[in-house]
Amino acid sequence: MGLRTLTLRVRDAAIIGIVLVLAGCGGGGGGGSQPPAPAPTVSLSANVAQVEEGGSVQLTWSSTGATSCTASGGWSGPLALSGTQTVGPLTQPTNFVVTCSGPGGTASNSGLIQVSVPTPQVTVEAAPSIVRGDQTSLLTWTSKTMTGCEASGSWSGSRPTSGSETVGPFTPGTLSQFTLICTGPRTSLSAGAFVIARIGTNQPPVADAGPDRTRGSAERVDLSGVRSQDDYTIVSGVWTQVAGPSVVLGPGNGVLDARFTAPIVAADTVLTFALTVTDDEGVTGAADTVDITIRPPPPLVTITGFVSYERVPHDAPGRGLSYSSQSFDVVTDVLVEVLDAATQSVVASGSFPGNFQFDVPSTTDLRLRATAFLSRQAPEPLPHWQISVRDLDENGAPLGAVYSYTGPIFNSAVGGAHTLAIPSGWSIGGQLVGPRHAAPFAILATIHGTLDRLLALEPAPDLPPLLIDWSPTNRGGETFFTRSAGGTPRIILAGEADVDTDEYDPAVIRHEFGHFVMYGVSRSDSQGGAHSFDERVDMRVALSEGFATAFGALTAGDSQYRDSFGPAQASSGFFDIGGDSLLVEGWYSETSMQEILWDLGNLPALWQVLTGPLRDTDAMTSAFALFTALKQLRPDLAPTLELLLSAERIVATTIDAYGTTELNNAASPNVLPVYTPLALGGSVQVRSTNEFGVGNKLSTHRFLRLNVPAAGNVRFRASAVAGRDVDMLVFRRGQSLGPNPGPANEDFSLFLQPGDYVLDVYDCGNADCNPSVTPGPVDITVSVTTN
Amino acid sequence: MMKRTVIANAFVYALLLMGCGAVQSQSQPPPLEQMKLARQSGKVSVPVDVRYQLRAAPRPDQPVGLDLAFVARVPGQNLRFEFPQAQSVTIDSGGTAFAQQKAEPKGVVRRSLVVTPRSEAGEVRVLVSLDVEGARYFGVFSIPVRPDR
Repeated sequence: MGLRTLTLRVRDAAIIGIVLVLAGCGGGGGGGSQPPAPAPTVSLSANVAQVEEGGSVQLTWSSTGATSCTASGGWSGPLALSGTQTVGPLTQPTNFVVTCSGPGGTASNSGLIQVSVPTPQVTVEAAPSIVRGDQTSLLTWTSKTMTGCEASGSWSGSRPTSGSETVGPFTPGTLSQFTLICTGPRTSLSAGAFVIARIGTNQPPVADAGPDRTRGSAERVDLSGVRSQDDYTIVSGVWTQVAGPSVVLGPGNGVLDARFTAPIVAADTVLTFALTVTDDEGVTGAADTVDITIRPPPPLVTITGFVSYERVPHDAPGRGLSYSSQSFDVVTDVLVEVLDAATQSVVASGSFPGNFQFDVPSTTDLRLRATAFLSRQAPEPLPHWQISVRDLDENGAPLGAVYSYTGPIFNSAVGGAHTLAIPSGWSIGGQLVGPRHAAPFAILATIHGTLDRLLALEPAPDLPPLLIDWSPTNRGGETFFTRSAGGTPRIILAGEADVDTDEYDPAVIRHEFGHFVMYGVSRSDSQGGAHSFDERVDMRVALSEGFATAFGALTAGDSQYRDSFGPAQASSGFFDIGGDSLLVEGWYSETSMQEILWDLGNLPALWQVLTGPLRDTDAMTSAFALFTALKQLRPDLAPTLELLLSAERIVATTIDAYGTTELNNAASPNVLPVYTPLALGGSVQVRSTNEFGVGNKLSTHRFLRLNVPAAGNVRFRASAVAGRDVDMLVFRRGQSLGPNPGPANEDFSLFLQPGDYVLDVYDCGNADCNPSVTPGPVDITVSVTTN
Repeated sequence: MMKRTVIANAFVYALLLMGCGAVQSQSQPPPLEQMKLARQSGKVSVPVDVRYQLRAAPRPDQPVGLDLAFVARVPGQNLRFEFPQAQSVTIDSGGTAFAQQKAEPKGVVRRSLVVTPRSEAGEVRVLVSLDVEGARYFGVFSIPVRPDR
């Protein structure tokens, strides 16, 4: 065999290992072809691990491959190959060993039995303890660790440490006490028993099962034998059912009581129960019965309950979602419906600020359905809102119904509590184990909480309808608010597992809802688009994004922003707007906006500005318009606000809605003035640039301020060098008045009323609206004339 | 980790040099200024520019080389990127996740992939995160790999 192993190649190492092991097993076997005898085995067990001093233990053993066994340690001598033996008395901890031998060798097993010291004890009992006439009683006593006893009371003299003795007869009407004092090496103890000698004969107890009565289906019924009587004492009672549909009797409050739950019946049904009682002399009297008539349930019964959804919280910052910590939270005001389980028709429906309550047919199979729909509309008085979560296509068209979840079938019986618990679909280990039913409700719950905070500021907002587009197929990162002309405002939320899901990211949801609120009650002139905290962006974008983040934080009272992402949602982006980011500061920084708003911490004041001066400003919505209005509306906040503005390198004391005195030019000659003044009949040149990036970045768009003193036609012209695509929009309080921009220079006329207007001028190469135009600095000449 | 990256890139380049259908051979990564910016998602994003360049016009079901460059716009730590799986484009090589302890605006992290477009709307997506000022930012970037059919 050894020679054969040498012929194996190195790559057959596993085979070599097997061969060597087999060779090693041959020791003592003689090298023949017969396999070696198996080694014997032996097992040993005891019925107890510990006995009281003087007690015995039962040992059981068995063996394999053995021809003989012997005992040693606490026992000795030859043993059968298997068996059971009782050993004792034991006075100290004892080790028992079994050794068995056979052709394959020897094996042994052992076990240690502990010995405990008994507790001193004396007992005395009298049976019976109540006697009548010339009846006697048997006294029985026992003791532990005692060496002698002495009787006293109604008996006397020395007694052994255990025994029995008949005492009596007794004089009727007397009480006899039999006391025993026992003494041992460690202590003395006493015990005693009483014998009561009653006068006359015992009268059997009289059971009273109570009056017949009527109860409703499914009600709890209490049976009471408390009115039962005896000449002395009733010690027990037994209830049994003797007629009617079988029910399960359970214990009641007292020893003579019982209770059961009434069955649900279609017509009046009588259930009969019998009660027997036993007195303290062990005599049982005749049974008494009671009839309980069960009524059928009414046609309509009330069910109540609440809707809850499984919420997945965030772990520590950076660590994503904590699926192991998910729990059910209540969501209110969503649409709740009761369905007939057979027909799926709606039996009842409603929205409830707390628990739902419905009157539904009794004893009917039903299901509860919750729909991700919050609505309060006319004819209800203000506030108004209508928010639903569903899957939408990129144009906002529904791809399915509003999300809903239907619970399991239950029977309404006679009414009662029923809850609807909506599962997340995620296991506590973070595996997707089912549909993500809870997601739409988690989103609504976050928005509901924000709405509640909003109502504290403004009791009667009239919010436009809002669609929330969420789906597991909504791509990661694609979370934004949009309001297409004539369409319903939408929040699109990412739902792509392992990339970016937002249903359990409340800060993200509140941010997007902040955009909606700004749109719904105020005004945002932001064009949206990609943005980052380090970028210098269009002032309208900076305010919009900074406000949305601050609004979410202020309504939640939490300055931490967290956004889960990545495989298993195990990572999260996070930042704290209560801190002070120093990378980019200014009127073009969303970080500056959110930090000022959070530090100011005055949501009511902010709300006042949003719903008044900011909505109606002639300027674009920006830091300048917002904070100028805030200073004017709340002069008491001006000192604090000026400090905050200065800290973010924004003009403070002389701020106006147009940023006229702003000096922070982002270290570029292409940034200031924020608005270039332009008079009727005049012409100016501004530069659109990609210096800070394209699209929505700073100075891709340039703004001009125009006053029109009298109504009339105004001609607008904007031009640049050939090959560029210059656009110009004319705004009156955030409303674009001009025609759709053309592919090159702009030249159009508008009939304008007197007032202040803003011209938004940009090159489409820089503004990312014409991919065929290369981004770069472009000087645009703008002229405005009457005609 | 850096060695592994170099080896992975060398493998890709070698694969490209050996010839894979329409893949154009190229041993040097393209200059940054010639590379396009990947599209960012709409959320508040990570301060990193992701640039890309395809080595040839993508063709349906044909592997094509894709050069990527990651440029942090601000100093940060823990630059990570990974490539979520997609049906529209399969990543044949170079698609393993990457992490680097420090990131500087002057430092360019490059990665070369071989990808195969499987549909007209093909795109490669990159999930990028970076820690800055005690915070963490992430963004999802999209790179179109759209064949002409």
